[in-house]
Amino acid sequence: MVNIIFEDSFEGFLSALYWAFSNNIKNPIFLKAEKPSLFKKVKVEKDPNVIKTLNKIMDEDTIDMFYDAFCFDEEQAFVNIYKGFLFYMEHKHLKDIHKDFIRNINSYIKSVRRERHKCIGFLRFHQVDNILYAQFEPKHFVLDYVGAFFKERYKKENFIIHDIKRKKAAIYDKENLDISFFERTIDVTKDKYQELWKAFFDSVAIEQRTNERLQNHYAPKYFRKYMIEFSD
Amino acid sequence: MDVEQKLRILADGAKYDVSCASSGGKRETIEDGIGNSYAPGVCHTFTSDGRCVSLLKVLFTNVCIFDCEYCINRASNDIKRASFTPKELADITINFYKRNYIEGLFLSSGIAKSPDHTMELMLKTIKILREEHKFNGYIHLKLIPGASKELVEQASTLADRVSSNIELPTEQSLRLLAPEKNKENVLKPLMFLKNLRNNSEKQIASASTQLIVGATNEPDYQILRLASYFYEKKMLKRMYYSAYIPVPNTKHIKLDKTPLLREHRLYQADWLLRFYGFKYEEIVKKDTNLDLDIDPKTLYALKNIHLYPIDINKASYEELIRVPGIGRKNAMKIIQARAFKTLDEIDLVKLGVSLKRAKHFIVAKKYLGYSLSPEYIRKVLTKGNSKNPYIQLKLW
Repeated sequence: MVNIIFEDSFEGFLSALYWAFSNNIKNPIFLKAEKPSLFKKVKVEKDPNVIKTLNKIMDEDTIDMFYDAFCFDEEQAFVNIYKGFLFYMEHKHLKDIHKDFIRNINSYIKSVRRERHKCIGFLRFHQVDNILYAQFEPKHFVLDYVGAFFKERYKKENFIIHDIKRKKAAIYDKENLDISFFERTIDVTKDKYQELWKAFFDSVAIEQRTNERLQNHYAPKYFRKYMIEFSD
Repeated sequence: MDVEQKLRILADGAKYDVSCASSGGKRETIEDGIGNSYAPGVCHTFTSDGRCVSLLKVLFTNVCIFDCEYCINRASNDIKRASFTPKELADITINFYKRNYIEGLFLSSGIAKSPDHTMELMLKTIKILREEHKFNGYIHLKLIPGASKELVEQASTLADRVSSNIELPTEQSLRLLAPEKNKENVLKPLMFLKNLRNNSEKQIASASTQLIVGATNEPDYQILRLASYFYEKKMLKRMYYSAYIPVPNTKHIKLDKTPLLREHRLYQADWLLRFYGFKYEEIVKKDTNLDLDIDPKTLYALKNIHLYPIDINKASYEELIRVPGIGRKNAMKIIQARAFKTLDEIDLVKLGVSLKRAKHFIVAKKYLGYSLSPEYIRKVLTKGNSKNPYIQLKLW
């Protein structure tokens, strides 16, 4: 067992994958930050040459798949991606769904894509001065995707999307989108549109058809913390 | 009256329109503008009845000169009336959009003064959004029956989706319950738009319609025949079905309430028409309703049991999607996976194929069911709990 510590980015992770592959490491553990451990530790730096090589030998779809699975953001996922990477180097595809790790990779991807999509709908912005500010606590790393989505949608707005759990934020200033560490707390105040939204939300429901189970299924409770129509 | 009160009244009046889709849009943000449409559609929240809220769905006004019996906003009904101004409504829309509450606007209306007068006010709202705010999010606009061609054309270039509600499956019912409406003024704009789509260079909005189910006694057969006619003629992108919700003081409507399950079965059948290559005659027998106990695809399989079991390892995509419980995604997964080995029951479970219904109809190395007897399968799938009151009576 070897603990491989990589720089917290997809490029950093790919560099670590490639390093483990080249050095024929059997049971690596991939870590974003150092943890106390009895195993041997190796720190792998991000290597632009490795990224270039990988871009040549892997097709785009596979890189996308690895990226989405990487966003699952759990150690077990990193290990399965490594297995998938070894398999890909040998077979040049990831279509054999009889392999456990390939099925796992597919399920990570599904989970990540689903959460990205939910976040696009459930994120709530507050107008704070001339900035639109949103907080959320996604299970996976979806900030880059969600940030890019709103960059397209709110071209001429300033916005901050704050992943409270990871202490990161996507910050957009009408020109550039930047994702970085973010530890500030920003106070949000109520405005009249929030009240209007709640009024609307109450009156579109059809009382004769109340079905909370269905509502809970589609709008899971862990999302609701920052959705104003569910707060008092 | 303050805006919040207006919003409450006019959202309440619009909620019986079931459509809230925002999918299929193609707009991109314009320079200095706000908003784009996202092809898969987005749900922004879910109401306590479990429906997706994608759009700010409101009436421009609930004042109405028509007196349609099934409608809560009909002229003779004693309810609170309100109207937005175009500016008010555009302001709410933009501010909701900025806060990511909605994908856009769904604007319908009662008919104040005249169809053209109402349509003009609605268009004015949309123009403020599109032109002043440079808003390029999703807009669904209801066409007012009887509005002039010019206004319909304007609507179709400003909106992503327009709709004209047929409301009832036959002209006879329409005459009975909605004397001021007629087939002509509902269908004409849809025909007109179809021609426009073929002959115009501009992007013309797609169209949908809604049918109220259960206020009159047309069977599902008639409803699905109508739907499939519209889909074939390419007049509509989608048909919506709305189980009738009783409104007070009705003269001709006898039913208290149509089961939601009937609405659900119609949607399932509609999907089979649009995405699974079924014809309406295959799904529903002449002059009857769909079965409430069993979904239409399973019913089809039970009635055509000689076509089954289907061999998962050999069947074409078209055959696979005719297996109850196997949808389009699972069919693709099966085809991909069987390239590597012959699939058995465990492989299917690993792929995430739900076998609850499918097992009765498939072979995966061996037949996975117990018996191909339709009576037996029906009994297992309904667990003897029939939701159909008539069948239950017979049992007792």
